[in-house]
Amino acid sequence: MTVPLAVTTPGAPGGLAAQLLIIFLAAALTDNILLTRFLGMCSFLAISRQMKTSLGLGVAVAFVTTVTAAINYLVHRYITAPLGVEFLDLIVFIVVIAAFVQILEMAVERFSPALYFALGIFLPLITVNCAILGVSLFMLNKQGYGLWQALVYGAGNGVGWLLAILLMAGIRQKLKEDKIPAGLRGAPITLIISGIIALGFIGFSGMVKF
Amino acid sequence: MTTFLIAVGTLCAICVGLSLVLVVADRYLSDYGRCRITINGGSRSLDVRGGQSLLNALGGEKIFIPSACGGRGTCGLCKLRVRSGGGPVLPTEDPHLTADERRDGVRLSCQVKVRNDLDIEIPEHLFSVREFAASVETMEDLTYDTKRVRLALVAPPEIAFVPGQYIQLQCPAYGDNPEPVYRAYSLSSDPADPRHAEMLIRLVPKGICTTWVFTRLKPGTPVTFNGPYGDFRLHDGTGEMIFIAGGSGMAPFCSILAAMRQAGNPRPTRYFFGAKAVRDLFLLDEMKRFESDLPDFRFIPALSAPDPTDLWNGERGLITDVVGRHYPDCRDKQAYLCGSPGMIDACINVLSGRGMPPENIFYDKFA
Amino acid sequence: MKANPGERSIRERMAPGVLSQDGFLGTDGRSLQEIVAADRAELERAGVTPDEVADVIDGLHAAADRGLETPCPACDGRVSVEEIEVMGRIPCPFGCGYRAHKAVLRVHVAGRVFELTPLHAHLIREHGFFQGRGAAFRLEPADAIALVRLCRTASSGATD
Repeated sequence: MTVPLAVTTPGAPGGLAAQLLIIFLAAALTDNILLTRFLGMCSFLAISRQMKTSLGLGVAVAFVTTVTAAINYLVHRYITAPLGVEFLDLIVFIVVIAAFVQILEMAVERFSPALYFALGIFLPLITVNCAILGVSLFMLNKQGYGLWQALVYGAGNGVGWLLAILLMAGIRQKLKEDKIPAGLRGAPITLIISGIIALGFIGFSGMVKF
Repeated sequence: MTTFLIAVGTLCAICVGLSLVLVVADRYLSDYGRCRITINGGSRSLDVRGGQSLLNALGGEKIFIPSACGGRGTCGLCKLRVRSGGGPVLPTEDPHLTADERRDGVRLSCQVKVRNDLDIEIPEHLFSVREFAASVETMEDLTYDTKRVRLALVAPPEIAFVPGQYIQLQCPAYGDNPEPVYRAYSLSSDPADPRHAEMLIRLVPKGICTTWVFTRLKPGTPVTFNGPYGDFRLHDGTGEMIFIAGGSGMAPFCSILAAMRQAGNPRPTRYFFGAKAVRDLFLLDEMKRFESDLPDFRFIPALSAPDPTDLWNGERGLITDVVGRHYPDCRDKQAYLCGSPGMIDACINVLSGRGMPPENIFYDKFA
Repeated sequence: MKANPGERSIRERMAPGVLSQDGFLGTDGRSLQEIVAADRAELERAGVTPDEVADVIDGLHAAADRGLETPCPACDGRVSVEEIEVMGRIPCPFGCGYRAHKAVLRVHVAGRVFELTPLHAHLIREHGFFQGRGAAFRLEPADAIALVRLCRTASSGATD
């Protein structure tokens, strides 16, 4: 069996490259997983205090999202779908993501101790980041996706998450917490801010059909 | 039914497959090769498999760091100083470390992973701490209240210790005493005879452990102890050495003198032994032998309250006064003290009053 | 009297063989409060405070310290004290965290010998506890009062 790298859908304008670009931009911006679907909130709230750590976590999430989206696409297409057990997708995806993060952690620890210490506890935290599972599951709803589309869709969502957490970190670094009423400091104000940003992002939703 | 079986089979197959991938990855990715652990500035170095925790790596080399939680990072007992190679302090270690410890590079050895060569410091005494099973070989009355107890080691059959170290003797539950207690005794044995452990034990009025020793111990009684511990030992130098100890405080010096005889140590050495009367003196013959075997050693007993019948014509007075009379100037000398806190404090006063620098005074306080 | 949970754990620590060979209670069946109250009443009748008793014991320890196990005079030579210090510390059975040096102070007064320990001073000063009747190291309040009077007149003897 050969892997269909791209399945051109009837309504898609232009060639493969254009289609992939649209998928990427739509996933990253207009359909931002964090700001329009509010997935991956826990680490977003906990880690977005500083630009540096946000960048580390964001990059890790983007990378894991991309790769697991592709792997899960293959798992779905060649294992669960042919066997008629698509209802297992959810469980299988969780296991795949957990295993992948484990391997990634070992690899980072082995080959880049500096990055390992910079990421610290973030890597295991990614295992339970629902945005990553969400991307793999949403991908299944998209009609006519091939491996390329899946990969780019994952990358787009990952970059979108990275973008969102960087935005938030930028804002929080400038935020003077002592001007905020005590009850709103920390997570509450972060939620309010992300709600306001989300308003802006939701305004774009539906602009790009993909 | 078929769907059910397929589902279960698929899930199992996927999980097993992923586990295999993880095992293989662990095998190759977590292989850090051999790492060198340098201990105490090179006094010892180990070649261990990388990738494991420092605590386990040391345990594998039979260096037992105390740990109560088994490496989960909750007890904070396995602290060690890591001079280099330990990486940054992990969040799991943070709550256990004070600001001072963090500055000194103290880490929890169960959380530090051996990824590269490490340079660490381990308190010397932890190297050879073991639990020993032994049996009493002889018990000898030295005075009316002091016994010399000689143990023959059973398992392990030999003990390696630095002269001056002590062991913790287990006094089992007996009589009214509901549970075992441990008491520390300095080893008085010759380190050249590692198959025996010898102690000088003085009866403590109403003491739990010494009462047991004096009433229940007989040749052949099995006992357990662990050790050796402590950093009281001979230090380098050339000047005269002054030993001061009375009573059972003589124990570490018996061991130290035996080692000096073995090594032919020529340093001028004077041992001041404080006692009340002649009936408190003991091991005089052995001290005589040390005097003739060692190039420059003298044993100087001093009695503070000799009986008229003692016909004593040696040194008289409190040990502090006797030492003070002998040494108007202690500047270039070393002192080794073993005894009660009161005795040691008094001796330190006299010695430093005569110019001995504090770094030249070593002591083993009974406290 | 019913023992409250705090008293029960204290009594367990005071049992023979737990902290010391003979324990702190001897054959005394009274509750801790009763022991303390009875002894305090006896001191009060004599006009002596627990602090004074503890101070005298501390003073005798200090005098004996200078002797390095050799008997030496204290309280202007009215008593002779000698102290044997041994290894380790003994915790206060009341669980207050205090740990006393292990030592036995022998006080020779007029043909009698009292055995006191550094823990005595603490127990009497902080807890008003002279130990139970029949305990190896009980200091009878009457003896404590006598010691205090003896040493009190000794220290003020120069001005008399």
